[in-house]
Amino acid sequence: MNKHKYKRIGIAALKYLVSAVIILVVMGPLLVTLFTSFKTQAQLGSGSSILPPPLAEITLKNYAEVLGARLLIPAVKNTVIILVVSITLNILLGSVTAYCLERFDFRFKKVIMGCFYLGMLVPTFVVEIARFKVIQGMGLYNSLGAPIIIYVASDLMQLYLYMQFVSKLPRALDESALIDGCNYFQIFYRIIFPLLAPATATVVVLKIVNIVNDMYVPYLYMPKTKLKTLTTFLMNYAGAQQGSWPTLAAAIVVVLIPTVLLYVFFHRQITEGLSAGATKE
Amino acid sequence: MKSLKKSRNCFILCALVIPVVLLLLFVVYPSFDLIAMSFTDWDGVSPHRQFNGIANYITMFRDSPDLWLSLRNNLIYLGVHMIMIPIELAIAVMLNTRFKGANFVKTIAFLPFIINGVGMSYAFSYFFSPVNGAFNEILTMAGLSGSIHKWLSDPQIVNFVLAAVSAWRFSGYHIVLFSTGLTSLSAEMMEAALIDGASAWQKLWRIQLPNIWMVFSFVMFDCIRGTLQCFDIPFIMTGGGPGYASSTFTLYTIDTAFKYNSFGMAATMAVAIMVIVIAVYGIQQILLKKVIDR
Amino acid sequence: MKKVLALVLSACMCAAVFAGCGSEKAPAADSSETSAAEGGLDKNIKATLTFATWDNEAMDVFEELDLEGRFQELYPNVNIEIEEFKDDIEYFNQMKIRAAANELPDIMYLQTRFYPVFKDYMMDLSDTKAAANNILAAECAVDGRIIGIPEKISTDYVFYWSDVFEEAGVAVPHTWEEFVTASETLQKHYEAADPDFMAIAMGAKDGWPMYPLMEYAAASFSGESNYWDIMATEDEPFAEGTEINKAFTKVYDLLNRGVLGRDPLGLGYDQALSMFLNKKAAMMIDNSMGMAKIAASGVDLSTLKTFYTPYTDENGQFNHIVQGDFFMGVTNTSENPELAKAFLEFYFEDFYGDYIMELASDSTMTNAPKEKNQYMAYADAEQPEMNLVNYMGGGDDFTAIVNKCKFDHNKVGAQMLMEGFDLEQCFDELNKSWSEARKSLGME
Repeated sequence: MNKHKYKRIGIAALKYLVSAVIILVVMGPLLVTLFTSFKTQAQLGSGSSILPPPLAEITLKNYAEVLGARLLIPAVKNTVIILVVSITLNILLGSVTAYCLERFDFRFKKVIMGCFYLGMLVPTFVVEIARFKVIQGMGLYNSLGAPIIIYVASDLMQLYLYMQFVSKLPRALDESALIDGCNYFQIFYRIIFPLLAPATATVVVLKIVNIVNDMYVPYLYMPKTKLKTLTTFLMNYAGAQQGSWPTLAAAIVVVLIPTVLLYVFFHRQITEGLSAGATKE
Repeated sequence: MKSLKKSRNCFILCALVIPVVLLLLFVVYPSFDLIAMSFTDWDGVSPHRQFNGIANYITMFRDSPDLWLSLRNNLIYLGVHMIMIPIELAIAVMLNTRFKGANFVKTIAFLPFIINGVGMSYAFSYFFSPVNGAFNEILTMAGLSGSIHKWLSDPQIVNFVLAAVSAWRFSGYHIVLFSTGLTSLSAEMMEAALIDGASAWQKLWRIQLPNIWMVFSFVMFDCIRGTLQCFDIPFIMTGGGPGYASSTFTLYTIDTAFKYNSFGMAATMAVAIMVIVIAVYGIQQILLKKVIDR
Repeated sequence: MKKVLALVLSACMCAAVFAGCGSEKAPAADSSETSAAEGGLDKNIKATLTFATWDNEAMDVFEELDLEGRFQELYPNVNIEIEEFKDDIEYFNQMKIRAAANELPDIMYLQTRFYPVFKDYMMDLSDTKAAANNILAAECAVDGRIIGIPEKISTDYVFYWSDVFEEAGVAVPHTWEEFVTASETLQKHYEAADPDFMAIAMGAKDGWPMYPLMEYAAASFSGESNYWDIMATEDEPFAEGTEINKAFTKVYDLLNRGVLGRDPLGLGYDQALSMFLNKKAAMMIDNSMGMAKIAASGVDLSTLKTFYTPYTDENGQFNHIVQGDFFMGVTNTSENPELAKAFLEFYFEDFYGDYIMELASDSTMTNAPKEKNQYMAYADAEQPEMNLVNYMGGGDDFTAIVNKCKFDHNKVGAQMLMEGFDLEQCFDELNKSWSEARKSLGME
């Protein structure tokens, strides 16, 4: 009995130890960044680099510089527009495509599937020149349309997720609806799409992560200063020739805030939805 | 019945027309362009391309030692991520025992995946700085100042540091994936597995792993694709340096294209990395299937 | 050529003395009339001019001085759309893609090293007033065409703390050998107390900060402004006895003495700069853009002084590289080339005078004299006589070879700092890949 109890305590202790290590490893670098954002360039050289600066010496100058930057507001606005439009399109097109590919057999299905897989494997950077010509031909260069359409057309994980989900939905659903006189549009719109809600939540999250963190697409296709996004805004502070670590740290913190807030409020839905996609018995 | 088929086809057509057009424009056309480009000596700027047969492929295999060095670096990332998989799985198993605070730990672990990777890569380059670097200070505080190394400039070490940063960013994601995969199995089974010791491992091996096969395969694919095409972490933290010591295949390809104006050559390399990703993934799938089947 | 340049430069320096009265700049009113008239353009033309730069500090100055508003006084319906980039590397990467897709901005900055890539996309500016008033533009013509007008002078200074020098008993070096000795003395004197100390703060992790030593060394030591082009004609340019062999050997000797501190490849440029600002480094080699950053840092600059890197050759001649930077050009794919040219004229005639005052760089325009930055003036006092070398970067052949064999001088510099580096072996390999590249390009 006693032995069993010790074993249990031992295991519990081990669990908490491992948990503590995980929390330290994850939070350490984040805290160092946060603390640095309150320091001056001069303090960097003198004090400890892992501890927060003494209360009296805290400076908000870095934040003043970042938040006062003339491009921050447009950057937030652009990022939000890109997110909303491209994610909406992603959900609509992704779910319906996945439904078709998973449920029906038709000519060229294999070819289309193959192309979608190809899309997941092509290294984007080197095909950029061809893609650039397409964007330019569509007249979208240097407009918010460019990143929006690229985010919709490439990076096809949403398809993968939706297909997983659709395959779990019983076909009987469709059939009974058909008998009830629904057409396919109605079946999809009224029955299938609502059932895909967890996958949709996951797609929203993953796409937000990918899009907010992507630097190259907005950078390459929207060089116009007024079209900065949060990440390209951040990169300005990291310019090879003008970096200042405390200011950059403040910029990083500012850019992290939206995603972290989103995460804090919705973390349960996010983690559950996310994994649901990759699980299939 | 005929009208049903008609309405079905109509639906498929309407549903797929936009995605397929986008696919053709942004995936198929660029890919064919890439393959066509790989047989030319195009410099990326001039209006015409000169067809030069398989010359690029020959050069790539014969005279590009730095490219293969870079590929070796990718394999280090892949190796580190592969080593992390059992650890991630173990942590997922642990977190699924539902002790107090387990959800909090899961939440924290997932954080690095959510936040801005570009920003954090910059932060890490300061974190591992030899002067006033936080990491060295932590080591010193822990009385381990003897183990301080040139984290970002020693060719023997730098790739492992970068791979560790990559693991920092993506492990939490994998933990959460595994964790939910395991949740779908019965909770008691998990408890039993953890308490019973040796036989529990057998259970894990025989019952749980095959059941989370999909998750496993997804994580594998994510690791292979991610590590073989990895470029932003070394690009930001070291620029591939010193020399080509921490360059990766993609980083080298980008350099070839943009710095040295050899788009033809770069396209050849891009085709190569696609083939490599497909090959590695294929081999891994076959091997894993064999193991699981047994 | 060099003499002309030297003359013009010294004329500028002299002009700087009178710059006190120079603040009443050239009457803006009539010059704007001429520039507007010349283009034969409709004043009410409706258009947008795009203008790309990687100089983030200049961006703020453009905003402060209201570049767009001032141009709109001449052309009220023209918008100036500025596109800014993180740094020159990213800038040129993107411009290559855009050149291929015919999407270059109307007005873009160039550096001479990228002339071979972009020259076919640029308009000839030989007939502009701006080119005529620029002290470097004509020198940097390519195939007889002036395709860019430099707005900055890029020349390197060794920034140093005079109190740090004094404490170690080191005087300002005037020959390369003295420079090596001084660096070593400083390193030895301070590193015992502060193991992080660097005689020269370099930021070699980023690669590009090595350019003052790696890119300029051969041209500097030899005094050959077009040394890269000479190399392009040789089959084994790194062989013993060649200028670049000698130059790299000298640089390697300097680096090998540990004067960049204990982990030079672990620190990037901004970290090196912050070390220098905290006097944890005695010297930093940088240009006027670095000066701007030092001035903006807010540290006490009372002991900040400068000298020129003493690239002395065997005869004791002191060579110094001067280079135009930020060459403003008009692309021939522009929809409004005449308007873009008119903008360029306006920029250098009416705007530049105020603009250059906000930067640390010297003026490149005879119509906008400027007093030399007080800290950078020390270098002129230290070394009044120099042989100025007008560096251009390599031409077509050089660029083609470099692209083929992937020769990167800054990477060689980084390798010099790695353990187990073998200079002889490095030269052998460079020679081998160089001659192979020439062979495959049919240059034998």
